[in-house]
Amino acid sequence: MTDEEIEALIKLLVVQLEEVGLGELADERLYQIRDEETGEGFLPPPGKYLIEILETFERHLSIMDRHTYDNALYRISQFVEDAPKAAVVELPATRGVARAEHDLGQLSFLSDIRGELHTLIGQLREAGFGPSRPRS
Amino acid sequence: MKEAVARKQIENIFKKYNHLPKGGGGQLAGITGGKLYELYVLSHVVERLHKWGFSLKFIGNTLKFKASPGKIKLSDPHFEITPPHPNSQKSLWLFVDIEFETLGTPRVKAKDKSRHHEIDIVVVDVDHGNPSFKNIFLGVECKAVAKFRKGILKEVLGIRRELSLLSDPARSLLSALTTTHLKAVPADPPSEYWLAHIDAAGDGYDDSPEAFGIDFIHLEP
Repeated sequence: MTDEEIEALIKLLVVQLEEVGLGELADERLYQIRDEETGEGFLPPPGKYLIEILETFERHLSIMDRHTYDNALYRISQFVEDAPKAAVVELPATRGVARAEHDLGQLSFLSDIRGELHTLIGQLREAGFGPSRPRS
Repeated sequence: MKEAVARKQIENIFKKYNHLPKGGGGQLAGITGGKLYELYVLSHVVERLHKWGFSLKFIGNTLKFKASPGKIKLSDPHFEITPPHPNSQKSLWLFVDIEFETLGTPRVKAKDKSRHHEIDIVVVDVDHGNPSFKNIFLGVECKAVAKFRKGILKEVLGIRRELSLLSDPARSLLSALTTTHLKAVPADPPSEYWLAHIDAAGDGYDDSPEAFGIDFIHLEP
């Protein structure tokens, strides 16, 4: 795959993330590397940059996954007497809206998507995506 | 790998993502992610405490995280912790999303917004109000940010400064209650302070903070 083709994939990924409201995960500023000598900032080479955005998306999915919730409660149950069966987030009252609770158990299972994403990252790594030249 | 194959895979992933039931997006999604990570880290904290011989009991029905941190209240769901040391009569509690009174406050009789700072998970020896820095045996910060940046390091250094003074290493308050967790921290009072981070890049920032008794722990679900 050429650098131009990888750039096209990065563009596609950024558009897709923006379309699902996760554009902040692709914010270039998150990926900037600073040259210790010159103080100049630059982005990683295209292949590495693509993988880094995919990994950021992967981490995001991991903390929105019902499986993570189940896994955490199960681990707690192994070590705690009368362990909790559920977890909620208490949202403060805002103007016109009373205090509310958000049930973390309402999250969707994301194992399929996470699995596909993990496979893709692995394939890209196997294809030798790595540093080639820094982009300014 | 061909570009067309990778393109197809990316499109498929987002197609599936788009078909998921839509929960609360925006700010609520941000809160959910952060608190689910806190739950995940909490599960590892209780596992470690158990491994070191502490007994834990949950008080309440449902674990409750707070979008806005506050004071310790026994009416809130929490964990009671019994130390393993046979001679210890110490009672400890684990709470989430608590604001503690900073080390600087009694020194200058602070009255402004600098009096309190939040810690995501705390093990303390008091059961009400804003715990003092002296009451904190363990504090755990949970960072589920997209990318680990130096700002997080500066934040935890600031919290550590308001928890303890730099001193010669001493056995940690937690460690002193067990025989299986030998831990010295260069802090007075010798509280333990952990930074749990989801991005492995955080491990590239842990050398200097170690000198102040900050433990970086990479936990990724």
